[in-house]
Amino acid sequence: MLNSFTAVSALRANAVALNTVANNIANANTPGYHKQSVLMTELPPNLVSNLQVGTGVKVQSIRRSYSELTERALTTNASELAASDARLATLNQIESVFTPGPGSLTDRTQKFFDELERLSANPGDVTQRGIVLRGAEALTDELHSSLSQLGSIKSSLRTEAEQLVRDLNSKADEIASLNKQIRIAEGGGANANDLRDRRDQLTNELAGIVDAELSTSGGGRGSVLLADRTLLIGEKSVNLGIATSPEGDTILVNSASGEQVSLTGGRLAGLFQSINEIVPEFENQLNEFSNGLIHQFNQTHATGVGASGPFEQLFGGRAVGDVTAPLAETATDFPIAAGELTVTVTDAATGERRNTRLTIDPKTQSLDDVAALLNGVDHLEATVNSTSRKITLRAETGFGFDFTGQLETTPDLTAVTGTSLPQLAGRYNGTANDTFAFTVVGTGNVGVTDGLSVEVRNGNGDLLNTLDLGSTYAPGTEVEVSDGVRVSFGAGTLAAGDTFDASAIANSDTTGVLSALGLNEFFNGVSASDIEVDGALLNDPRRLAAARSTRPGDNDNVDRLISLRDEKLLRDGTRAFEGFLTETLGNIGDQVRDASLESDSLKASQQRITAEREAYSGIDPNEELVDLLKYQRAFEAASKTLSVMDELMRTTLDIVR
Amino acid sequence: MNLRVTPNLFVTQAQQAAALHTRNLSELQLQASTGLRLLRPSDDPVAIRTVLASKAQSARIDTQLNNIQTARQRLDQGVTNLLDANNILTSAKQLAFDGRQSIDPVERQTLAAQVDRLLDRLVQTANADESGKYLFGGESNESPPFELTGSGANASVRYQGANIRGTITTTSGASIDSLYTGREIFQSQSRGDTIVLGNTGAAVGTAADSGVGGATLSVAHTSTSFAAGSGVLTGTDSATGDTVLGPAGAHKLTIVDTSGTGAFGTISLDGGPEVNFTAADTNLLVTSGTGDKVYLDTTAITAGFSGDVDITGTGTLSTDGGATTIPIDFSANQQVVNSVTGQVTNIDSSGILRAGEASVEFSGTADAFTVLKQLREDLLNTRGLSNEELGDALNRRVADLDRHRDNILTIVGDQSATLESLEATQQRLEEVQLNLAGVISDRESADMVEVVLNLQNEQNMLQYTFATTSRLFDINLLNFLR
Repeated sequence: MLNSFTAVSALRANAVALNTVANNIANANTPGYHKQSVLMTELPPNLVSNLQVGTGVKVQSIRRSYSELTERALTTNASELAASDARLATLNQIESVFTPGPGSLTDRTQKFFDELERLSANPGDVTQRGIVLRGAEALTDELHSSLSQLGSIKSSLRTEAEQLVRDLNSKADEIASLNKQIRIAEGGGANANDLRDRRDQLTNELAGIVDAELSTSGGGRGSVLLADRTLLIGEKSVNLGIATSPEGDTILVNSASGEQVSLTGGRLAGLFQSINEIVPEFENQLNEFSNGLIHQFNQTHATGVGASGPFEQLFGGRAVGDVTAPLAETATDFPIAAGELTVTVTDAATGERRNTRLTIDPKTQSLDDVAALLNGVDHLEATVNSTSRKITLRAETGFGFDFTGQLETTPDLTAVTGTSLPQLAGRYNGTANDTFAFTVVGTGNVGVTDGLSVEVRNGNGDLLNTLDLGSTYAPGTEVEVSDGVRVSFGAGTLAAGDTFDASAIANSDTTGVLSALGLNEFFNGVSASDIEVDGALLNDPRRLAAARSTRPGDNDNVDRLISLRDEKLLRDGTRAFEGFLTETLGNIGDQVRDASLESDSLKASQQRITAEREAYSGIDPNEELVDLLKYQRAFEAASKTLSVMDELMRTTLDIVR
Repeated sequence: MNLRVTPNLFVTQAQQAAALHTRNLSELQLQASTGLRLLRPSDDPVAIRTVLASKAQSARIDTQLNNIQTARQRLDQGVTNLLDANNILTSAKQLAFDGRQSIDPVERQTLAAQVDRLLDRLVQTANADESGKYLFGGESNESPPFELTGSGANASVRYQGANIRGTITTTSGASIDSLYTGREIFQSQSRGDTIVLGNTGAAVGTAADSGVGGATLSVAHTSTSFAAGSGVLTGTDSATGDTVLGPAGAHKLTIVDTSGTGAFGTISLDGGPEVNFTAADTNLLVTSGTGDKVYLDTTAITAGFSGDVDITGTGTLSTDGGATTIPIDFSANQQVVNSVTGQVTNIDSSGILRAGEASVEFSGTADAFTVLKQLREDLLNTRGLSNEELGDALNRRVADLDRHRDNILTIVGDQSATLESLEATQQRLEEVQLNLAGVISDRESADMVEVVLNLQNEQNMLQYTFATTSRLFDINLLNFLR
C-alpha cells in the first residue's frame, strides 16, 4: 500500500525549510537577527507485515544559530565601549576648552606675568600699571569662561543622561513585554526565535546605555539583568530616574525605591563618571589655580604700597565666620598661621616710620583680638563690624600705615639717655625676620671719645658687628651693620648701656592674616567662578602696590610679585602657576589619548566579536541559496514521488475499470 | 580566522576601514593646511608639554629682551651723559689752571663766569633723562634729581633723588642697576685732611670730621681779663670790640705810668704801637702790631706801675653762623657741631689767639657742583686769600675735579661693563630663543613631505578598500544560477 502521506510530509517539511531559508535571506541585514535552520526528523514508522515502513519526515524545530558566549561578550563589549566613548567625548570637549592658543588660559597667564615683568622696568608708569591690570582682568575673564564652558559640558551631559534614562526605561518596558510574549509563545514547546532575537537586540542596545546582560533565569526563557546585576527585568519592567546625591553627585536611582543604582558600564556610566569625576577634576584644577593665584598675589600685594605710599584707611574685603572665635576655628577664606605681623605707621609731616611687630596665634586669637592688637599701635585704629564680620583700619589724621616692614629711619630711642641721634638706612636683604639690638659700650661723645662703641647683636644674641664711635668715627657717617642695614650716629653723647632695636623685616606678614582679611587686595574672590581684579585697583592703577616705598622707581614689590611666577606654590609646592597649567593640559592630552586608545581597543574587540558572531549567526546569502536549491530539489523530488504514486494509483484504478 | 565569512562582515570591515582611512585623511589634510602637527594636547601629550613650556619661555624671553633693551637705552644714555659730565669737569680743570696762572683780576672774573656756565651745564647733565625717566635719581626717577637754586655766589645744588639705584629685572630672578643715584656719581667722597685757613689760630683737631665741602668757623670773643696789679680794666666796648683770645699770657699789655701817679702814661698790646692814656679814659682802643684789639679802662691805673700785664681772652666757636656755640677751651680737640646739618668739625683750639672767621675745607668731600662753586669763588678770591693760599686752593680744586672725573669714569666703566654683560645676555637669550623656536618647530610643525606621502598612502588605502569591497560583492552565487 502506497503511503502518500510520506511524500506530503516531505513537501511540508521542505516547504518549511524553504520558508526558513527565505526568512534568513529576508533578514540578512536585520540587526540582531540570528541565522535559523530547520532541524528535520523522520516520522515514526508503520508496522506492515512485520516490517517497519517509514512514514516520512517532520520539522522538529527551527533553531537559531546562537552562541551564548559570543553574545555575552558582545553585550559586555557594547557596555564598555559606550562608557568609554562617553568619557572620550567629554574629554574631547574639555580638551577644546583648554587647548592652547591666542586668548587661551595659558596665553593669558603668560601675558599677565610678561606685563608684570615689563612693569619692573617702569614701576611708576601708570599706563603700564593699567596694562598689567587689564592683563589680570583678561586672565580672570578666561578663568570664568573656562569654568563656564566646563559647567555647560556638565549640563549638556546631564541632559543627555536624562534622555538616555528615558530611552532605557522604554527599552526595559519593551523587554518586559517580550519576556511575557516569549513565555506564552514557548509555552507550547516552540522556540520563539524572533522574539528572542528582538530581546537580544534590545539587550545589546540596553548595554549601550547601562551594563546589561542576559540571564538564564525565568525557567530557561531568560531575563535581563542590569546595573551590576542588581536590577532584573522579568515580565515586570524597572523604572529609573536621575537624582542628585547629598554630596552633589548626579546619580541613577530606582524610581520606585529611591535607592541609588550603581553602574559599571554603558554610556550612562561614562556620563556619570564624566559629570561626577572628569569635569569636576578640571573644575577643581581651575579653582586650585585661581585660589593659589588670589592667595599668593594678595599676600604679596598687601605688603607693598601704591604710588601714594602709606594708607590712610583700608577696608578688609573678607569676612570671618565668627569675630569672637579663634581664627583657626572659624571660617576664613585663606589659612592663618601663627606668626608675626609688622605694621608700620608713618608720620606724614616728618616721614618718620615706626614699626610695630604683633604676634598672632590663630589658635587663641579671634578677629576681635587681632583688631585689639592693631588698636594698640600708636596712631592706628582698627574696628570690626560685627555684622559684616570684616575689619577696617584707619590712621589718625597726619599719619599713614602700611605693611611693608621697611626699616625705621629713626629707631625707638626710649632706652637711649645720650644726645646722639642714631639713624637707620638701607634695605634689609636677609631671608628671615630679625631684630638688631644696638648696645652702647663706654660713655662719651660720638666721634670724640675713644673707646666709645656700639655692639650689634641679632635676635639670637649673636654679635654681628662692633661699631667704633671714637675719634676715628665721623659723626653722621653711615656704616654697614649687616644684611644691607646701615646706621649713623649724630654728634652727641652716648652712655654705657644705652640701647635701641632695629626691626629687620624680610616678611612683614608671616601669618597670612593680610590676605585672609582681604586688606589691600589684588584679586577678589576665592575660586575660578568669582575671581575678579579688585575694583579699586582697576579704577585707579596708581593703587597697584608696585613698590615698598613712595619712590616712583621702586620696583621691589613688583619683583616680589614676579618672583611668584617661578615659585612652586601649587600642588603642595610642586608646581608653579604656568607649569600647573601646562601639566593640566598635558594631563588632558594623556587622558584623551588613553581614552582614545581604550575606545579603539574596545572597537577592535567589538569588530572581532562581531566577526565571530557573524561567523556563527550571520547570514551568508550564497549559503542560503545553496540551501534553497537543496530544499527546492527535495520539494521537487517529493512532488515527483506524489506524481509517481498518482500514476501507480491510476494504473491500479485502470485495472479495476 | 573565522571559517564562515558573511557579506555583512565584508560590509562592516569596509565601513570601518573606510572610516579609519577617511579620519586619517582628515587629520593629514588639517596638518597640511595648517602646517601644524600639534593642534590639540592629545595629539602628543608629551610634546605639548615641551611646546607649551618652550613657547612660554620664548615669550618670556621676548619680555626680558624688551627689558634688556630698556636697560641698555638707559645705560647708553647714562654713559653718554656721564662722558659729557667728565668733559665739563675737564673744562673746569682747564679754567682752574688758567686761573692759577692769571694775575689779572678781570681775566679771573671772566674765568669765573665760564665756571658759572659749566655749573649750569653740569646740573642739566645730572638731570638728564631717557624717555621721561631721570637717569641719575636712583629709584626716584620721575622728577629731576638735582635742584639748582640761586646763581653765582648764591648758587646751591641740592640732591633730592633716592639713595637706592633703580633696577630692571632682566632674566629670571636677576636684576641689573639701570638708574644710578646722583649721590654716588656727583657727590662721591674721598675724605682727606681737613684744612683750616685764616689767622684766628684755629687749627685742625685730632678727631674725624664729618663736614662736607667747606665750612666757616666763627671764632668769637666773649670776655677779656687782666692779671692783677696794674689796675687796668676792660673798656666799655671790650665785650664786643676785643679780638684777643687765649689763656693768660697769650697776649700782653705793656703799661708805662709816666706820670708816676696813674694820671697818664702809655700802653701797648703785644709790643705794638704805644697808645697814650689818661686817668679819664674808659674805652681806650689799643691795637697790636698784628691788628688785635683791646678796649681798656685806665681810670684806676696803679700809681707808678710800669710793666707787662697778662691778658686772658675767652670766646666761642661755631660753624652754623652762631646759631649754636661752644666755649673755647684752648685744647687740642674741640668738636663743633653744625646744628642745621649735624656735620661735625674738630678744631684744635689751643693756638687760637684772636676772634674772626676761619675757612674750613674738608678736602675730598665736596660734591662736583660745590667744587665748581668753590672754583668760582677762588677765582674771584672771595675769601681774600694770599697768592700762595690761593694757588694751593686752586690746586685743591683741581684735585677735587680729578677725583670726580675719576669717579665718573669708574662709573662709566661700571655701566659699560654692565652694557657689555647685557649685550652678552641678550645674545645668549636670542640664541636660546632660536633654539626654542627650533624645539617648537620640531615638535609642533608638520613634516610636509611626510604628510603628503601619508596623505597619498591613505588615499591609496581608501581606494583599495572601495575596490576590494566592490570586487567581493561582484562574486555571488546568483551569477551562476540559471
